[in-house]
Amino acid sequence: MTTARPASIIMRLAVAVPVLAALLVIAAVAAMTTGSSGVTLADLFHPAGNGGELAATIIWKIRFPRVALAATVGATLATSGLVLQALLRNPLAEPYILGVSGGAAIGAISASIIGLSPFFGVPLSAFAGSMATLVLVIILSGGAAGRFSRESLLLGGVMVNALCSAVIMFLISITKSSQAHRILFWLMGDLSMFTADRMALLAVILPCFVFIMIMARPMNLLLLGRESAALLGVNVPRVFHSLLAVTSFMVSLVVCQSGLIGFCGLVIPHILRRILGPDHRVLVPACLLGGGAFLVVCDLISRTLPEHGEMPVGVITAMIGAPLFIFLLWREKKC
Amino acid sequence: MLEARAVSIALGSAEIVKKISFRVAAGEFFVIIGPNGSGKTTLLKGLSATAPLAAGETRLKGRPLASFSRRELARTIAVVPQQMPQDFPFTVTETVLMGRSPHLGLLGIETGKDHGIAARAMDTTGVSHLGGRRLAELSGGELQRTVIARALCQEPEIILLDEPTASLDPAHQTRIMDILAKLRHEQGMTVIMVSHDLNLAAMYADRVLVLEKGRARACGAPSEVMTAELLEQVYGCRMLVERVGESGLLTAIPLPGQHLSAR
Repeated sequence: MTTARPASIIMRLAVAVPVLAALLVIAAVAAMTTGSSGVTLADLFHPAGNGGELAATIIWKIRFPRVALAATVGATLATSGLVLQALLRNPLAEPYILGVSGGAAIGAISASIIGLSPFFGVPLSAFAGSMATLVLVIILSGGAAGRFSRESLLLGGVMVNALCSAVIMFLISITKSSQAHRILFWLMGDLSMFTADRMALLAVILPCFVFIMIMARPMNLLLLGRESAALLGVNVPRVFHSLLAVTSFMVSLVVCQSGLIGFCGLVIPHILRRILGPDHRVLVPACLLGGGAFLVVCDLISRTLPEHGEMPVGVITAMIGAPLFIFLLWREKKC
Repeated sequence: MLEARAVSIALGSAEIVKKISFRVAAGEFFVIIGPNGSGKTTLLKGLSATAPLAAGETRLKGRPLASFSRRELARTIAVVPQQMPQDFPFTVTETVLMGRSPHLGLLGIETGKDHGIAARAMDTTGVSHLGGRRLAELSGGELQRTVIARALCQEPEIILLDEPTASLDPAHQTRIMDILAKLRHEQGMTVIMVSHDLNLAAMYADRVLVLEKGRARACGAPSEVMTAELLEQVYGCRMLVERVGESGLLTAIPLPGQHLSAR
């Protein structure tokens, strides 16, 4: 019989956070010193003529914003996946699978076709799209009554996703072909179109992370079911609705910048939960850092692997994520 | 302490609880009995504000229950539900500590004081040695004692329990009941409990409330209320009600093969 008390929450945080933060920093440094221009960190410190200045420009003005975007997108998708899994009590929930990302994409594409501002109109329209799909999926799966069966939730997600794909294809078919190619590339999950002047937009996501951090304990209690959580002092409707809104807000902002990147929100929470246990007070910061590191690495692979140009990062996340997820499912079934 | 005034509760279109009134005093051991489907669990949900009232009012310390926030309520009333989710992934200690939630600050991190309260609660219900185990690895009795420890961690004045002794062996049944009786005597805890076990109800309760088809049939001391005549009418089978042993414990035993056609 085991009598050992599980390590306290502070202890677990003190181990998990520095390790994952270190991983993120290592990934970021690697990504910032690798690229098609061949500029490395060494060029920054051994300037030959104008080379130092050029290296600094490439590293800080071109590569750094991209790494920052990748980290933010990864962190957002992983934390959103974690939140949706807790709220819907379904380990397969994820913004991409549930169609939340797809809804945001519809909003973003239609707004840009109409010609709304990319700083305000497009994200807002994406938010509306993602909220609409999320509410639709929840209603379809009977969640309005507070019960989510695993199968009906996934089925609802698949259906809404199919609808989203059809609408997206329709929208692409009525746009000019030059624009259509760009949209298609973006849809696959693309971090290359980001520029330094949009960094401010990502700062909006930071308060969302803080909010989710505060909600970590109520999320633990929600695993007991809505009624038990309420009996332990959680204002369930308020927590539920605010978390759904914040998650869908974050996802739509990220989709506007990076398109549809799948599996990050599924795989990262799963792996971290297996290593760190089920406590969301540890998992939220862990997913934030781990998701960031994961996508920085994926982005690095996506722009160094092809001989010429680069491939969408969504291809890499799916190629790493899907097999890993199948493996996790298989192992869970075996034991 | 806790009062129901002509409370009616409906689930969908069916009225499950019909105009029930009673008042439970501070420090009282109050047991609700009645056949399956008589509205016991639903009434308990009304008392914990988890089922909306169709009519009437519930009051806690003279204040309407509806005017309390969830957090305030969780500091006063703890509920031990009938079932725990099967897939709850936390350990015994972590589960018990969750009872501290209504007392924690914004970030929800427990202090040494919270750990102390949890340790004492686990000691009271005898689950200290199980701390690191996952809930899925526990026996029924261990699980029930864990959930009661979690309820104690809330430092409530009232504890509501829904059939806490169902599916437990006789020794575990009395063990759970003894824990509750001790809490009542030592800390003045008010205990309100739904039970199918007439003998346990007779043994431990100060008063019993007998429900029949959503209505209050009788309410009073077990020796007054639990007569063969009343129990036979409510449950619809022949009953043997006797005092047994040196201390004259009241027992009610259903007799085989004698179902009354009235139900």
